[in-house]
Amino acid sequence: MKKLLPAANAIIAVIAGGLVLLGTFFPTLFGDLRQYLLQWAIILAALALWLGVLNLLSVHWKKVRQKETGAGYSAVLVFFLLGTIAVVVLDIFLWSGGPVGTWSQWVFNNLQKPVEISLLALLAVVLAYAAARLLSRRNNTFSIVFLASAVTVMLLMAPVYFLKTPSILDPLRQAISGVLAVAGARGLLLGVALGTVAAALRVLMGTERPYGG
Amino acid sequence: MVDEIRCPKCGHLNPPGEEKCQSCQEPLQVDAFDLPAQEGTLPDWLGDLQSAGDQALGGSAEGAADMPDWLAGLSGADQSDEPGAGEAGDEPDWLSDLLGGQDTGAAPAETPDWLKAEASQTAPPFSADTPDWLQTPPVQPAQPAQPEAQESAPDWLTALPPAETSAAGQTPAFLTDEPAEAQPAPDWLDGLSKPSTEPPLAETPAFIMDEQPAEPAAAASDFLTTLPDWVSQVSAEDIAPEETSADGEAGLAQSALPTWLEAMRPVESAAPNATPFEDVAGADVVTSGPLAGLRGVLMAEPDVALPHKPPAYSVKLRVTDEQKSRVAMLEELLASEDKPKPQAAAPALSQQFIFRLVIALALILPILWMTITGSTSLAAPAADSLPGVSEMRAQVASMPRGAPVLVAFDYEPGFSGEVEAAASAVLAHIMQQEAYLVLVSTSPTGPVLAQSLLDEMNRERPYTNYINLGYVPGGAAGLLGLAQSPSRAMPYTLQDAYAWSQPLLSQVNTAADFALVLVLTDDPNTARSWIEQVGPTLAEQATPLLMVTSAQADPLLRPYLGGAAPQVQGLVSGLAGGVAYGAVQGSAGAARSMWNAFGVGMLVAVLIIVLGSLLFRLLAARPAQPPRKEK
Repeated sequence: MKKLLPAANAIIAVIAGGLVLLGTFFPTLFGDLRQYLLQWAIILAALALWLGVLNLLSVHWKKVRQKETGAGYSAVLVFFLLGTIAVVVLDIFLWSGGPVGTWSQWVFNNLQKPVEISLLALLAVVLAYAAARLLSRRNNTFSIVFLASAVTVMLLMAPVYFLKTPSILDPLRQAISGVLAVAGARGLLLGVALGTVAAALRVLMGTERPYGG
Repeated sequence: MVDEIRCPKCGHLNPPGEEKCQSCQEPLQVDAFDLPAQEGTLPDWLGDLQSAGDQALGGSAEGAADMPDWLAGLSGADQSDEPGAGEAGDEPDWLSDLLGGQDTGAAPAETPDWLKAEASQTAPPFSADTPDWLQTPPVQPAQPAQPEAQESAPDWLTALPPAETSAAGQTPAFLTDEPAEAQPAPDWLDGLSKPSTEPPLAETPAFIMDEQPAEPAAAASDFLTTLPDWVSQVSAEDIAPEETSADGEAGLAQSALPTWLEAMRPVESAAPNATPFEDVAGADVVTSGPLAGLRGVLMAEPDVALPHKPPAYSVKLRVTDEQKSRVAMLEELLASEDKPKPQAAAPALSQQFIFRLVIALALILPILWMTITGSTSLAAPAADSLPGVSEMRAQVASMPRGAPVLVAFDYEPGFSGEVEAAASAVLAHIMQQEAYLVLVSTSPTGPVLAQSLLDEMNRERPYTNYINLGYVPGGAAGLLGLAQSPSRAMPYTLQDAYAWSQPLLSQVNTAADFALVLVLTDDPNTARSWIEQVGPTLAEQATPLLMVTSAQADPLLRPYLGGAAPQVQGLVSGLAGGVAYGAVQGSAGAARSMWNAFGVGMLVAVLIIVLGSLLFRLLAARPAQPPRKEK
């Protein structure tokens, strides 16, 4: 059974991937079959999301019960997870607002959104401090080039308060963001595309098994 | 022949007088008996006896003249009694004569005469199993003691005539029974000279009951055959010591010992009642085997092999206080090995903390000031200077009014400030076109963000021309399914109503049937998934794919924007793109209100980086202070 199950997984993955690929090239023959497979994938992904939520809840609930290190944070997570689910359920069945009802939006806009925005605000302070200490920690040519590029782009993306006419710096901004940045991005995207094709071929041939086995 | 000398090496018989063997030339050894007695080495009386013996062994009458009279008479009497000299075999003549005087019967040549005489008189009918030592018959005290005295005496002495038969005038002085006139003779010699009336004890085994009367041989045989050998031996030993001790104590007089000598007596003698034997009364009785019924028998099986409860040994070590202190010290050293060395407590106001605090205040205060004042003094960027903004505006402006538009909210709440500011102007433009918005999201938080943004934009006049289909699971596969058949992938709204029954959406079979597709995202990977999965479907009917992204995703999306066949037909990135789009539209949206604060904050960040780099570089170039000496 231990050998049969991975083999069955590989066979299913290869056949499903092959049919979806055939549907791309031959939509009239395999279009409907590909659509069924895609719908199954969507349903399975939704169930996987629920399994992930339940696993998260069980892990942190176990930490709370056993009073492990960081049990307080786990208790906060469990409390707000269950509280959010309760609010959404009540919003669906009592207030007919659904997941985007009034109380659900209130929880989201007043709890989750400010927390995540604050984290990014702290990131801005940390990045500024790290950039300021870069030359003292690693004083070489690449560090100087990196800092000079960052300062230039920041000045060009934002309005310079004392420069009433930022058009003076427009040619420089265009050279950096339109030539250098795009060239680098194209190289990255080409590499990503080649890697994606290679990974897809490996999965279709069964040599790469991200699903296990 | 007696005169011939046999070679000890080859066995050849040599004539007498030869010193070497005629056959092998081996020196012929002379018998010890033939060696002449050295003068002075033997006492006179012993030398006389030896000479008399030599004469007897030689068988000649040459030394008869030197022989004492008493010995000559004895020899003559013996010679007259014996049937013939040298007929008894290898034994000397004198011994044969002596034995012949007692038993004149003919005896076999192999057996000595004296042994045959003993065997004929006392040999009991022992069985074949009886050991040799036990076959020795008990001594009969009724018999004369002379034969036993002859056995204990040396051979040469046994040849002497008995005292009663010797003449008094010929007996040497040391052999006479006259102690008054002559020198006192030794005891052993007295014993020899006088007839002994007691049985000899020296040659008698201890277990033989000497004092008991002799029994017939047949009775002794029956007794030995009916009882085991060891039983008869034990009975003899048990009886003999009692009798000997009684005899010995009877002749001793009790005397008082000194106190110091009394104290030196062994414990056994001080406690005569203590028995040396083990009391086996309480011992176990053997129940099986050949020793069944006996008590106190040593067990054949060792005691260690028998099952029994193991003894409990104490495992507690005897440790002194000094050893305990050393063990505690060693344990403390070992425990400190695993523990990390405590670092010096950082000061509450460290240089790093102060610098971070300064950076935060430098960023927050100008931004807060600009936000409060609402300054819009800074000029908005030109739409032409930002790639994709003008194309975006043209696509929205050219869409048919009231056409369905698919809008994807695929950004995280943390980026909502930037993305929503950039997207507000675009969404406002689309709403101006009275488009029917179909809201989807590949992020779980996307549906709430979409609803919040629409509610925020239309507080005064709610916009109701939209449906929210919610979360599209499956990632890239979900996007592909949504592009192929939106009605199959997302059939229901968040209010659990079928979405595709409306007249505007009934004609939508694929994503290409929408008037345009707008994606709001902060992640370049998410944007790339939309381009790769949905873009081909949209390209079938030249449906534009527009994107509003954060500034960080802009460099990676620029390549899709340019070229002869762009995969993204419009792009608004960051706050600058939103401000530029709003400026073109002529609306002062949320992006415009943040533009001054954004510019001030960015300028402060640049100053912090530049000045901070110089400051830290100078601090790093400063010579290091010598380390403080620890107290």
